Amino acid sequence: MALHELPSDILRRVVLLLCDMDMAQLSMSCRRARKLVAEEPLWEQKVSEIVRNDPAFQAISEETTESLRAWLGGPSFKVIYKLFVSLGLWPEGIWREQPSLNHKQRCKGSMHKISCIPGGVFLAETFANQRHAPSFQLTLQEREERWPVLRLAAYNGELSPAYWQTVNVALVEPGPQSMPQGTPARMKGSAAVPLSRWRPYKPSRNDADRLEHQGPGSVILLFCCHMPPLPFPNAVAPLPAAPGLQPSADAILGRLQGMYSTYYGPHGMEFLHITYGDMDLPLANLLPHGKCFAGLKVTGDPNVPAGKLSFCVSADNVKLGSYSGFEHEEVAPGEYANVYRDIVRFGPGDNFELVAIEERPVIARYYGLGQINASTQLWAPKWVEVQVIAYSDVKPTFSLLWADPGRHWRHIMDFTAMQLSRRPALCDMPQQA
Amino acid sequence: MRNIVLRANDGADHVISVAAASLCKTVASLLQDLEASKGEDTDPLIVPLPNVCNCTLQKVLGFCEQQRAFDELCTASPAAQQADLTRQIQAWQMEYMQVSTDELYHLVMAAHYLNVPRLLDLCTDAMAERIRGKSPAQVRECFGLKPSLSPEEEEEIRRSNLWALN
Repeated sequence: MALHELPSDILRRVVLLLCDMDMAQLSMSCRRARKLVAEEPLWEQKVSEIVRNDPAFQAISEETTESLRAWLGGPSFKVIYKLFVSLGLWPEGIWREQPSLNHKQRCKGSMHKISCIPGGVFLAETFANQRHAPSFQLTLQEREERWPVLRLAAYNGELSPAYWQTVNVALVEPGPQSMPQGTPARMKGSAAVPLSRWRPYKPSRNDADRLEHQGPGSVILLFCCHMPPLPFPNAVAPLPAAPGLQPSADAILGRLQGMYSTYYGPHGMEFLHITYGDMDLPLANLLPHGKCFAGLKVTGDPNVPAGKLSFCVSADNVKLGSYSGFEHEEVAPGEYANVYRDIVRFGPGDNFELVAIEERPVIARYYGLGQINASTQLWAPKWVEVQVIAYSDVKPTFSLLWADPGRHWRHIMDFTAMQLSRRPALCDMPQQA
Repeated sequence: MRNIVLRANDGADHVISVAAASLCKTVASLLQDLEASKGEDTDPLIVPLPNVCNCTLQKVLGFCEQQRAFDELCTASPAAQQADLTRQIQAWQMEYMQVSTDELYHLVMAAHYLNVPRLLDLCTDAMAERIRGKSPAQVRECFGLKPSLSPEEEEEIRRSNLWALN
Protein backbone atom coordinates (compact mmCIF):
# COMPACT_ATOMS: atom_id res chain seq x y z
CA MET A 1 0.00 0.00 0.00
CA ALA A 2 1.34 3.44 -0.82
CA LEU A 3 0.48 7.10 -0.68
CA HIS A 4 -1.18 7.19 -4.08
CA GLU A 5 -3.64 4.44 -3.05
CA LEU A 6 -5.19 6.60 -0.37
CA PRO A 7 -8.52 8.22 -1.19
CA SER A 8 -8.26 11.80 -2.43
CA ASP A 9 -10.28 13.34 0.36
CA ILE A 10 -7.82 12.02 2.96
CA LEU A 11 -4.91 13.39 0.97
CA ARG A 12 -6.69 16.73 0.64
CA ARG A 13 -6.97 16.92 4.41
CA VAL A 14 -3.26 16.24 4.71
CA VAL A 15 -2.34 18.83 2.09
CA LEU A 16 -4.41 21.48 3.85
CA LEU A 17 -2.27 21.04 6.95
CA LEU A 18 0.90 21.86 5.07
CA CYS A 19 2.49 25.25 4.65
CA ASP A 20 2.98 26.71 1.16
CA MET A 21 6.55 25.58 0.91
CA ASP A 22 5.78 22.00 1.88
CA MET A 23 2.89 21.95 -0.56
CA ALA A 24 5.18 23.06 -3.35
CA GLN A 25 7.75 20.41 -2.43
CA LEU A 26 5.07 17.75 -2.27
CA SER A 27 3.70 18.70 -5.68
CA MET A 28 7.10 17.96 -7.17
CA SER A 29 7.19 14.45 -5.78
CA CYS A 30 4.72 12.68 -8.07
CA ARG A 31 1.92 13.18 -10.58
CA ARG A 32 -0.83 12.41 -8.12
CA ALA A 33 0.47 15.03 -5.70
CA ARG A 34 0.89 17.55 -8.49
CA LYS A 35 -2.72 17.10 -9.52
CA LEU A 36 -3.93 17.26 -5.93
CA VAL A 37 -2.05 20.44 -5.09
CA ALA A 38 -3.37 22.11 -8.23
CA GLU A 39 -7.01 21.59 -7.26
CA GLU A 40 -9.03 24.76 -7.09
CA PRO A 41 -11.17 23.85 -4.00
CA LEU A 42 -7.95 23.46 -2.01
CA TRP A 43 -6.90 27.02 -2.80
CA GLU A 44 -10.40 28.23 -2.19
CA GLN A 45 -10.21 26.77 1.29
CA LYS A 46 -6.79 28.28 1.88
CA VAL A 47 -8.09 31.68 0.79
CA SER A 48 -11.06 31.37 3.12
CA GLU A 49 -8.78 30.37 6.02
CA ILE A 50 -6.48 33.30 5.44
CA VAL A 51 -9.45 35.67 5.25
CA ARG A 52 -11.08 34.26 8.36
CA ASN A 53 -8.00 34.05 10.55
CA ASP A 54 -5.93 37.08 9.72
CA PRO A 55 -6.88 40.39 11.31
CA ALA A 56 -5.70 42.19 8.19
CA PHE A 57 -8.81 40.84 6.47
CA GLN A 58 -11.28 42.02 9.05
CA ALA A 59 -13.00 44.24 6.51
CA ILE A 60 -13.85 41.34 4.22
CA SER A 61 -14.06 38.42 6.64
CA GLU A 62 -17.82 38.19 6.10
CA GLU A 63 -17.42 37.72 2.38
CA THR A 64 -17.82 34.29 0.86
CA THR A 65 -14.94 33.06 -1.24
CA GLU A 66 -17.08 33.28 -4.36
CA SER A 67 -18.09 36.87 -3.73
CA LEU A 68 -14.45 37.62 -3.04
CA ARG A 69 -13.49 36.14 -6.37
CA ALA A 70 -16.21 38.02 -8.22
CA TRP A 71 -15.06 41.09 -6.38
CA LEU A 72 -11.51 40.70 -7.61
CA GLY A 73 -12.56 40.18 -11.20
CA GLY A 74 -12.62 36.39 -11.30
CA PRO A 75 -9.05 35.05 -11.16
CA SER A 76 -8.34 31.56 -9.86
CA PHE A 77 -8.16 31.05 -6.12
CA LYS A 78 -4.55 30.05 -6.43
CA VAL A 79 -3.79 33.46 -7.89
CA ILE A 80 -5.81 35.19 -5.18
CA TYR A 81 -3.91 33.23 -2.57
CA LYS A 82 -0.59 34.07 -4.16
CA LEU A 83 -1.52 37.72 -4.23
CA PHE A 84 -2.43 37.68 -0.57
CA VAL A 85 0.78 35.97 0.37
CA SER A 86 3.16 37.82 -1.90
CA LEU A 87 1.75 41.19 -0.96
CA GLY A 88 1.90 40.49 2.72
CA LEU A 89 -1.56 38.93 2.64
CA TRP A 90 -3.32 42.00 1.44
CA PRO A 91 -2.18 44.87 -0.72
CA GLU A 92 -3.37 47.37 1.82
CA GLY A 93 -0.52 49.32 3.21
CA ILE A 94 2.15 51.70 2.11
CA TRP A 95 3.88 51.16 -1.19
CA ARG A 96 6.71 53.00 -2.71
CA GLU A 97 6.57 53.45 -6.39
CA GLN A 98 9.59 52.24 -8.26
CA PRO A 99 10.93 55.03 -10.44
CA SER A 100 10.69 54.13 -14.03
CA LEU A 101 14.02 52.95 -15.36
CA ASN A 102 14.38 54.83 -18.57
CA HIS A 103 11.79 57.56 -18.50
CA LYS A 104 11.42 60.83 -16.81
CA GLN A 105 8.38 60.79 -14.67
CA ARG A 106 6.99 63.52 -12.60
CA CYS A 107 5.83 61.32 -9.77
CA LYS A 108 9.13 59.53 -9.64
CA GLY A 109 9.55 57.45 -6.53
CA SER A 110 6.56 58.80 -4.71
CA MET A 111 4.73 56.76 -2.09
CA HIS A 112 1.20 55.48 -2.12
CA LYS A 113 -1.22 54.25 0.43
CA ILE A 114 -3.21 51.37 -1.01
CA SER A 115 -6.50 50.63 0.63
CA CYS A 116 -9.62 48.72 -0.22
CA ILE A 117 -12.82 50.64 -0.85
CA PRO A 118 -16.32 49.16 -1.05
CA GLY A 119 -16.83 47.41 -4.33
CA GLY A 120 -13.61 45.47 -4.04
CA VAL A 121 -11.36 48.00 -5.63
CA PHE A 122 -7.99 48.90 -4.26
CA LEU A 123 -7.52 52.57 -4.04
CA ALA A 124 -4.10 54.08 -4.09
CA GLU A 125 -3.43 57.53 -2.76
CA THR A 126 -0.31 59.41 -3.51
CA PHE A 127 1.00 61.08 -0.43
CA ALA A 128 4.64 61.84 -0.98
CA ASN A 129 3.94 65.40 -1.93
CA GLN A 130 1.29 65.92 0.70
CA ARG A 131 -1.57 65.64 -1.72
CA HIS A 132 -4.37 63.75 -0.25
CA ALA A 133 -6.10 62.64 -3.36
CA PRO A 134 -6.98 59.28 -4.75
CA SER A 135 -4.66 58.80 -7.67
CA PHE A 136 -5.68 55.49 -9.15
CA GLN A 137 -7.46 52.24 -8.58
CA LEU A 138 -6.24 48.71 -8.90
CA THR A 139 -7.96 45.49 -9.79
CA LEU A 140 -6.55 42.03 -9.89
CA GLN A 141 -5.84 40.26 -13.12
CA GLU A 142 -4.44 36.89 -13.86
CA ARG A 143 -1.84 37.60 -16.46
CA GLU A 144 1.23 35.68 -15.60
CA GLU A 145 1.76 32.33 -13.99
CA ARG A 146 4.39 33.45 -11.58
CA TRP A 147 3.07 36.68 -10.19
CA PRO A 148 -0.38 38.04 -9.86
CA VAL A 149 -0.49 41.33 -11.64
CA LEU A 150 -2.49 44.25 -10.52
CA ARG A 151 -4.09 46.11 -13.34
CA LEU A 152 -4.29 49.75 -12.76
CA ALA A 153 -6.84 52.21 -13.87
CA ALA A 154 -5.38 55.64 -13.59
CA TYR A 155 -7.41 58.70 -13.04
CA ASN A 156 -6.16 61.48 -15.20
CA GLY A 157 -7.04 64.13 -12.68
CA GLU A 158 -9.17 66.19 -15.00
CA LEU A 159 -12.42 65.32 -13.25
CA SER A 160 -13.74 63.57 -16.32
CA PRO A 161 -14.85 60.23 -14.97
CA ALA A 162 -15.35 58.84 -18.45
CA TYR A 163 -11.66 58.86 -19.05
CA TRP A 164 -9.98 55.91 -17.47
CA GLN A 165 -6.65 54.58 -18.45
CA THR A 166 -5.50 51.06 -18.01
CA VAL A 167 -1.88 50.27 -17.58
CA ASN A 168 0.15 47.40 -16.33
CA VAL A 169 1.46 47.29 -12.84
CA ALA A 170 3.91 44.55 -12.21
CA LEU A 171 4.42 43.70 -8.58
CA VAL A 172 7.98 42.63 -9.04
CA GLU A 173 11.24 44.42 -8.88
CA PRO A 174 11.57 45.55 -12.45
CA GLY A 175 14.33 44.31 -14.65
CA PRO A 176 14.61 45.86 -18.09
CA GLN A 177 12.92 42.80 -19.60
CA SER A 178 9.93 42.98 -17.27
CA MET A 179 9.10 46.57 -18.11
CA PRO A 180 5.75 46.71 -19.82
CA GLN A 181 5.82 48.64 -23.02
CA GLY A 182 4.13 51.96 -23.11
CA THR A 183 4.53 55.65 -23.26
CA PRO A 184 5.06 57.37 -19.97
CA ALA A 185 3.41 60.59 -19.15
CA ARG A 186 2.91 62.98 -16.35
CA MET A 187 0.64 61.82 -13.68
CA LYS A 188 -1.43 64.60 -12.32
CA GLY A 189 -2.69 64.60 -8.82
CA SER A 190 -6.28 65.54 -8.44
CA ALA A 191 -7.02 67.82 -5.57
CA ALA A 192 -9.53 66.55 -3.05
CA VAL A 193 -11.76 64.38 -5.22
CA PRO A 194 -14.51 63.07 -2.98
CA LEU A 195 -14.57 59.29 -2.85
CA SER A 196 -18.13 59.26 -4.09
CA ARG A 197 -16.90 60.46 -7.47
CA TRP A 198 -14.88 57.32 -7.85
CA ARG A 199 -16.54 54.67 -9.90
CA PRO A 200 -15.61 51.10 -9.26
CA TYR A 201 -13.42 50.01 -12.08
CA LYS A 202 -14.84 47.17 -14.15
CA PRO A 203 -12.54 45.28 -16.48
CA SER A 204 -13.94 45.33 -19.98
CA ARG A 205 -13.17 43.78 -23.32
CA ASN A 206 -11.71 47.05 -24.52
CA ASP A 207 -8.98 46.85 -21.94
CA ALA A 208 -6.95 44.45 -24.00
CA ASP A 209 -7.07 46.83 -26.93
CA ARG A 210 -6.12 49.73 -24.76
CA LEU A 211 -3.21 47.78 -23.40
CA GLU A 212 -2.09 46.97 -26.92
CA HIS A 213 -2.21 50.54 -28.09
CA GLN A 214 -1.34 52.63 -25.13
CA GLY A 215 -1.58 56.13 -26.29
CA PRO A 216 -0.06 59.24 -24.82
CA GLY A 217 -1.22 59.81 -21.30
CA SER A 218 -0.84 56.30 -19.97
CA VAL A 219 1.24 55.71 -16.93
CA ILE A 220 3.46 52.85 -15.97
CA LEU A 221 4.07 52.30 -12.34
CA LEU A 222 6.08 49.55 -10.84
CA PHE A 223 5.75 48.88 -7.19
CA CYS A 224 8.05 47.39 -4.74
CA CYS A 225 7.69 47.43 -1.03
CA HIS A 226 11.00 48.81 0.10
CA MET A 227 10.98 52.08 1.96
CA PRO A 228 14.58 52.34 3.13
CA PRO A 229 14.58 55.73 4.83
CA LEU A 230 12.02 54.76 7.45
CA PRO A 231 12.73 52.12 10.06
CA PHE A 232 10.13 49.43 10.55
CA PRO A 233 10.17 47.91 13.98
CA ASN A 234 9.31 44.27 13.42
CA ALA A 235 8.95 43.93 17.12
CA VAL A 236 9.41 46.63 19.67
CA ALA A 237 12.42 45.81 21.77
CA PRO A 238 11.57 44.75 25.30
CA LEU A 239 12.41 47.19 28.02
CA PRO A 240 15.90 46.77 29.46
CA ALA A 241 15.57 44.33 32.34
CA ALA A 242 16.34 45.96 35.64
CA PRO A 243 14.75 44.00 38.46
CA GLY A 244 12.88 46.16 40.90
CA LEU A 245 13.82 49.27 38.98
CA GLN A 246 11.39 51.48 37.09
CA PRO A 247 12.62 52.05 33.52
CA SER A 248 13.41 55.69 32.89
CA ALA A 249 11.01 57.92 31.00
CA ASP A 250 13.71 58.24 28.37
CA ALA A 251 14.22 54.49 27.87
CA ILE A 252 10.48 53.87 27.47
CA LEU A 253 10.12 56.32 24.58
CA GLY A 254 13.44 55.54 22.93
CA ARG A 255 12.40 52.04 21.97
CA LEU A 256 9.12 53.06 20.34
CA GLN A 257 10.47 54.72 17.19
CA GLY A 258 9.39 53.50 13.78
CA MET A 259 6.35 53.05 11.59
CA TYR A 260 2.96 52.52 13.18
CA SER A 261 -0.62 52.13 12.11
CA THR A 262 -3.73 53.24 13.95
CA TYR A 263 -7.36 54.04 13.29
CA TYR A 264 -8.39 57.67 13.03
CA GLY A 265 -12.07 57.03 13.58
CA PRO A 266 -14.10 57.45 10.40
CA HIS A 267 -10.96 58.29 8.43
CA GLY A 268 -9.90 54.68 8.80
CA MET A 269 -6.41 53.33 9.14
CA GLU A 270 -3.51 55.70 8.82
CA PHE A 271 0.22 55.34 9.15
CA LEU A 272 2.57 57.37 11.24
CA HIS A 273 6.28 57.71 11.52
CA ILE A 274 7.24 58.01 15.16
CA THR A 275 10.50 59.67 16.15
CA TYR A 276 12.09 60.56 19.44
CA GLY A 277 14.83 63.07 20.14
CA ASP A 278 15.68 66.75 20.08
CA MET A 279 13.52 68.26 17.40
CA ASP A 280 13.10 71.57 15.77
CA LEU A 281 9.35 71.84 16.02
CA PRO A 282 7.06 74.82 15.53
CA LEU A 283 5.78 74.23 19.04
CA ALA A 284 8.65 75.67 21.00
CA ASN A 285 6.44 78.07 22.89
CA LEU A 286 3.88 75.40 23.72
CA LEU A 287 6.03 72.52 24.89
CA PRO A 288 8.83 72.48 27.44
CA HIS A 289 12.34 72.25 26.04
CA GLY A 290 14.05 68.90 25.84
CA LYS A 291 13.45 65.70 24.00
CA CYS A 292 10.19 65.19 22.13
CA PHE A 293 8.24 62.15 21.02
CA ALA A 294 6.43 63.02 17.82
CA GLY A 295 4.14 61.29 15.33
CA LEU A 296 4.35 62.45 11.73
CA LYS A 297 1.50 61.46 9.43
CA VAL A 298 2.74 59.40 6.53
CA THR A 299 -0.80 58.99 5.28
CA GLY A 300 -3.31 61.66 6.00
CA ASP A 301 -6.97 62.42 5.89
CA PRO A 302 -8.92 65.44 4.64
CA ASN A 303 -8.69 67.10 8.05
CA VAL A 304 -5.04 66.55 8.85
CA PRO A 305 -3.17 65.60 5.68
CA ALA A 306 -0.03 63.57 5.23
CA GLY A 307 3.18 65.26 6.16
CA LYS A 308 1.69 67.02 9.16
CA LEU A 309 2.45 66.25 12.78
CA SER A 310 -0.35 64.39 14.52
CA PHE A 311 0.99 64.79 18.01
CA CYS A 312 4.05 65.71 19.98
CA VAL A 313 4.69 65.03 23.65
CA SER A 314 7.52 66.01 25.92
CA ALA A 315 9.72 63.43 27.60
CA ASP A 316 10.00 65.67 30.67
CA ASN A 317 6.29 66.17 31.24
CA VAL A 318 5.73 62.63 32.43
CA LYS A 319 3.88 60.66 35.09
CA LEU A 320 5.35 57.25 35.77
CA GLY A 321 3.39 54.32 37.10
CA SER A 322 -0.06 52.85 36.59
CA TYR A 323 -3.12 54.91 35.66
CA SER A 324 -6.53 54.85 37.32
CA GLY A 325 -8.16 56.88 34.56
CA PHE A 326 -8.95 59.77 36.88
CA GLU A 327 -7.80 63.25 35.85
CA HIS A 328 -7.67 66.48 37.76
CA GLU A 329 -10.04 68.57 35.66
CA GLU A 330 -11.97 71.78 35.81
CA VAL A 331 -15.60 70.73 36.36
CA ALA A 332 -17.00 74.24 36.76
CA PRO A 333 -15.36 77.64 36.36
CA GLY A 334 -12.59 77.74 38.93
CA GLU A 335 -13.63 74.42 40.45
CA TYR A 336 -11.39 71.36 40.08
CA ALA A 337 -12.02 67.71 40.89
CA ASN A 338 -10.73 64.24 40.09
CA VAL A 339 -13.04 62.91 37.38
CA TYR A 340 -13.28 59.75 35.36
CA ARG A 341 -14.64 60.00 31.86
CA ASP A 342 -15.34 56.99 29.68
CA ILE A 343 -12.55 56.24 27.24
CA VAL A 344 -13.69 55.30 23.77
CA ARG A 345 -11.70 53.68 21.01
CA PHE A 346 -12.93 54.02 17.43
CA GLY A 347 -12.24 51.09 15.18
CA PRO A 348 -12.66 50.43 11.50
CA GLY A 349 -15.96 51.67 10.08
CA ASP A 350 -18.36 53.07 12.64
CA ASN A 351 -17.28 50.66 15.37
CA PHE A 352 -16.24 51.87 18.78
CA GLU A 353 -15.68 50.30 22.14
CA LEU A 354 -15.04 51.33 25.71
CA VAL A 355 -11.51 50.93 26.99
CA ALA A 356 -10.84 50.12 30.64
CA ILE A 357 -7.57 52.03 30.94
CA GLU A 358 -7.15 51.06 34.60
CA GLU A 359 -6.83 47.42 33.57
CA ARG A 360 -3.99 48.07 31.16
CA PRO A 361 -0.33 47.71 32.21
CA VAL A 362 0.41 51.43 32.02
CA ILE A 363 3.96 52.34 32.97
CA ALA A 364 4.16 55.97 31.93
CA ARG A 365 2.12 58.86 30.56
CA TYR A 366 3.59 61.78 28.66
CA TYR A 367 1.71 65.02 28.24
CA GLY A 368 1.81 67.09 25.10
CA LEU A 369 -0.23 68.36 22.19
CA GLY A 370 -2.16 66.87 19.30
CA GLN A 371 -3.05 68.59 16.07
CA ILE A 372 -6.66 68.90 14.89
CA ASN A 373 -8.23 70.71 11.98
CA ALA A 374 -11.97 71.24 11.88
CA SER A 375 -12.38 72.02 8.20
CA THR A 376 -11.60 69.78 5.26
CA GLN A 377 -11.43 72.82 3.01
CA LEU A 378 -9.13 75.01 5.00
CA TRP A 379 -5.90 74.30 6.83
CA ALA A 380 -6.41 76.03 10.17
CA PRO A 381 -4.98 73.66 12.75
CA LYS A 382 -5.38 73.83 16.48
CA TRP A 383 -3.23 72.19 19.10
CA VAL A 384 -5.10 70.38 21.87
CA GLU A 385 -4.08 68.47 24.96
CA VAL A 386 -3.14 64.81 24.55
CA GLN A 387 -1.17 62.22 26.41
CA VAL A 388 0.89 59.32 25.13
CA ILE A 389 0.40 56.21 27.23
CA ALA A 390 3.20 53.63 27.29
CA TYR A 391 2.70 50.06 28.45
CA SER A 392 4.93 47.39 29.87
CA ASP A 393 3.29 44.98 27.47
CA VAL A 394 4.12 45.04 23.76
CA LYS A 395 0.54 45.06 22.44
CA PRO A 396 -0.78 47.65 22.02
CA THR A 397 2.59 49.27 21.87
CA PHE A 398 1.42 52.67 22.96
CA SER A 399 -1.73 54.78 22.88
CA LEU A 400 -2.67 58.36 22.32
CA LEU A 401 -5.37 59.71 24.63
CA TRP A 402 -7.10 62.93 23.63
CA ALA A 403 -8.38 65.25 26.32
CA ASP A 404 -11.61 66.05 24.42
CA PRO A 405 -12.58 68.91 26.75
CA GLY A 406 -16.30 69.52 27.13
CA ARG A 407 -17.26 65.96 26.22
CA HIS A 408 -18.51 63.16 28.42
CA TRP A 409 -15.85 60.86 27.04
CA ARG A 410 -12.27 60.93 25.85
CA HIS A 411 -11.03 59.03 22.84
CA ILE A 412 -7.98 56.85 22.61
CA MET A 413 -6.00 55.47 19.68
CA ASP A 414 -3.95 52.30 19.99
CA PHE A 415 -0.81 52.17 17.86
CA THR A 416 0.42 48.96 16.31
CA ALA A 417 3.99 48.60 15.09
CA MET A 418 4.02 47.72 11.41
CA GLN A 419 4.97 44.12 10.86
CA LEU A 420 6.92 44.27 7.69
CA SER A 421 8.39 40.84 8.21
CA ARG A 422 5.14 39.32 6.94
CA ARG A 423 5.77 40.87 3.62
CA PRO A 424 8.44 39.06 1.64
CA ALA A 425 10.87 41.41 0.01
CA LEU A 426 9.76 41.09 -3.58
CA CYS A 427 12.94 42.73 -4.75
CA ASP A 428 14.99 39.91 -3.28
CA MET A 429 13.17 37.25 -5.25
CA PRO A 430 15.30 35.66 -7.95
CA GLN A 431 14.52 36.65 -11.49
CA GLN A 432 12.68 34.09 -13.50
CA ALA A 433 15.10 32.04 -15.58
CA MET B 1 -26.91 -3.43 27.10
CA ARG B 2 -26.01 -4.85 23.74
CA ASN B 3 -22.52 -6.11 23.01
CA ILE B 4 -20.83 -5.02 19.83
CA VAL B 5 -18.47 -7.35 18.04
CA LEU B 6 -16.24 -6.03 15.32
CA ARG B 7 -14.93 -8.77 13.05
CA ALA B 8 -11.66 -8.18 11.22
CA ASN B 9 -11.03 -9.52 7.72
CA ASP B 10 -9.24 -12.60 9.09
CA GLY B 11 -12.26 -13.52 11.25
CA ALA B 12 -10.88 -12.35 14.58
CA ASP B 13 -13.62 -10.86 16.80
CA HIS B 14 -13.23 -7.85 19.08
CA VAL B 15 -15.87 -6.99 21.64
CA ILE B 16 -16.14 -3.28 22.42
CA SER B 17 -18.31 -1.17 24.66
CA VAL B 18 -21.15 0.92 23.25
CA ALA B 19 -19.41 4.01 24.63
CA ALA B 20 -16.21 3.29 22.71
CA ALA B 21 -18.15 2.27 19.61
CA SER B 22 -19.90 5.64 19.61
CA LEU B 23 -16.60 7.18 18.54
CA CYS B 24 -16.81 5.14 15.32
CA LYS B 25 -19.56 6.97 13.50
CA THR B 26 -20.08 4.12 11.04
CA VAL B 27 -20.77 1.62 13.84
CA ALA B 28 -22.78 4.15 15.82
CA SER B 29 -25.14 4.84 12.93
CA LEU B 30 -25.47 1.12 12.26
CA LEU B 31 -26.46 0.62 15.88
CA GLN B 32 -28.95 3.47 15.72
CA ASP B 33 -30.60 2.09 12.58
CA LEU B 34 -30.84 -1.34 14.15
CA GLU B 35 -32.45 -0.03 17.33
CA ALA B 36 -34.85 2.06 15.35
CA SER B 37 -36.04 -0.93 13.35
CA LYS B 38 -35.92 -3.70 15.97
CA GLY B 39 -36.11 -1.92 19.29
CA GLU B 40 -34.04 -2.89 22.32
CA ASP B 41 -32.32 -6.18 21.84
CA THR B 42 -29.64 -8.03 23.76
CA ASP B 43 -28.26 -10.04 20.88
CA PRO B 44 -24.67 -9.09 20.17
CA LEU B 45 -24.28 -6.95 17.08
CA ILE B 46 -21.67 -8.41 14.79
CA VAL B 47 -20.10 -6.00 12.36
CA PRO B 48 -17.90 -7.63 9.74
CA LEU B 49 -15.15 -5.33 8.49
CA PRO B 50 -13.74 -6.89 5.34
CA ASN B 51 -11.42 -3.94 4.72
CA VAL B 52 -9.71 -3.91 8.09
CA CYS B 53 -7.02 -6.34 9.18
CA ASN B 54 -6.78 -7.66 12.71
CA CYS B 55 -3.79 -5.66 13.95
CA THR B 56 -5.11 -2.38 12.55
CA LEU B 57 -8.50 -3.00 14.12
CA GLN B 58 -6.80 -3.64 17.44
CA LYS B 59 -4.94 -0.37 17.10
CA VAL B 60 -8.15 1.55 16.25
CA LEU B 61 -10.03 0.01 19.17
CA GLY B 62 -7.14 0.86 21.47
CA PHE B 63 -7.59 4.45 20.41
CA CYS B 64 -11.36 4.42 20.96
CA GLU B 65 -11.13 2.89 24.44
CA GLN B 66 -8.34 5.24 25.51
CA GLN B 67 -10.10 8.35 24.17
CA ARG B 68 -13.27 7.27 25.97
CA ALA B 69 -11.32 6.99 29.21
CA PHE B 70 -9.74 10.40 28.64
CA ASP B 71 -13.16 11.93 27.93
CA GLU B 72 -14.51 10.62 31.21
CA LEU B 73 -11.45 11.95 33.04
CA CYS B 74 -11.90 15.32 31.38
CA THR B 75 -15.50 15.72 32.49
CA ALA B 76 -14.73 14.46 35.99
CA SER B 77 -11.62 16.48 36.77
CA PRO B 78 -11.70 20.12 37.93
CA ALA B 79 -10.75 22.97 35.61
CA ALA B 80 -7.37 23.40 37.27
CA GLN B 81 -6.22 19.97 36.14
CA GLN B 82 -7.42 20.31 32.55
CA ALA B 83 -4.11 21.65 31.25
CA ASP B 84 -2.26 18.79 32.86
CA LEU B 85 -4.70 16.32 31.38
CA THR B 86 -4.36 17.84 27.92
CA ARG B 87 -0.61 17.36 28.13
CA GLN B 88 -1.16 13.77 29.19
CA ILE B 89 -3.46 13.15 26.23
CA GLN B 90 -1.02 14.73 23.81
CA ALA B 91 1.81 12.60 25.18
CA TRP B 92 -0.29 9.48 24.74
CA GLN B 93 -1.23 10.44 21.19
CA MET B 94 2.42 11.06 20.32
CA GLU B 95 3.29 7.63 21.63
CA TYR B 96 0.33 6.12 19.78
CA MET B 97 1.43 7.61 16.46
CA GLN B 98 4.88 6.00 16.60
CA VAL B 99 4.07 3.64 13.71
CA SER B 100 5.65 2.76 10.40
CA THR B 101 4.43 4.49 7.25
CA ASP B 102 2.70 1.31 6.14
CA GLU B 103 0.88 0.98 9.46
CA LEU B 104 -0.09 4.63 9.17
CA TYR B 105 -1.67 3.98 5.76
CA HIS B 106 -3.75 1.14 7.13
CA LEU B 107 -4.70 3.14 10.18
CA VAL B 108 -5.84 6.16 8.18
CA MET B 109 -7.87 3.91 5.87
CA ALA B 110 -9.52 2.18 8.82
CA ALA B 111 -10.23 5.54 10.51
CA HIS B 112 -11.76 6.73 7.26
CA TYR B 113 -13.83 3.58 6.78
CA LEU B 114 -15.04 3.39 10.38
CA ASN B 115 -15.43 7.18 10.39
CA VAL B 116 -13.54 8.01 13.59
CA PRO B 117 -13.07 11.78 13.14
CA ARG B 118 -10.59 12.24 15.96
CA LEU B 119 -8.38 9.38 14.84
CA LEU B 120 -8.57 10.66 11.26
CA ASP B 121 -7.40 14.08 12.43
CA LEU B 122 -4.55 12.51 14.35
CA CYS B 123 -3.51 10.42 11.34
CA THR B 124 -3.64 13.29 8.85
CA ASP B 125 -1.61 15.38 11.31
CA ALA B 126 0.95 12.61 11.51
CA MET B 127 1.11 12.30 7.72
CA ALA B 128 1.51 16.06 7.29
CA GLU B 129 4.26 15.96 9.92
CA ARG B 130 6.06 13.34 7.84
CA ILE B 131 5.90 15.52 4.72
CA ARG B 132 6.98 18.77 6.38
CA GLY B 133 10.44 20.04 5.56
CA LYS B 134 11.17 17.27 3.07
CA SER B 135 12.46 17.67 -0.47
CA PRO B 136 10.52 15.93 -3.25
CA ALA B 137 13.07 13.11 -3.26
CA GLN B 138 12.76 12.68 0.50
CA VAL B 139 8.95 12.63 0.22
CA ARG B 140 9.21 9.88 -2.38
CA GLU B 141 11.59 7.92 -0.22
CA CYS B 142 9.46 8.29 2.91
CA PHE B 143 6.24 7.22 1.22
CA GLY B 144 7.71 4.66 -1.15
CA LEU B 145 6.75 6.52 -4.32
CA LYS B 146 8.23 5.91 -7.72
CA PRO B 147 9.29 9.09 -9.49
CA SER B 148 6.49 9.70 -12.00
CA LEU B 149 7.52 13.16 -13.09
CA SER B 150 10.33 13.82 -15.53
CA PRO B 151 13.09 16.14 -14.31
CA GLU B 152 11.80 18.75 -16.77
CA GLU B 153 8.29 18.54 -15.33
CA GLU B 154 9.68 18.78 -11.81
CA GLU B 155 11.66 21.86 -12.81
CA GLU B 156 8.56 23.40 -14.35
CA ILE B 157 6.60 22.96 -11.13
CA ARG B 158 9.50 24.38 -9.18
CA ARG B 159 9.56 27.46 -11.37
CA SER B 160 5.86 28.10 -11.08
CA ASN B 161 6.07 27.74 -7.31
CA LEU B 162 9.03 29.99 -6.67
CA TRP B 163 6.80 32.33 -4.71
CA ALA B 164 6.28 29.62 -2.11
CA LEU B 165 9.73 28.07 -2.15
CA ASN B 166 11.74 31.13 -1.22
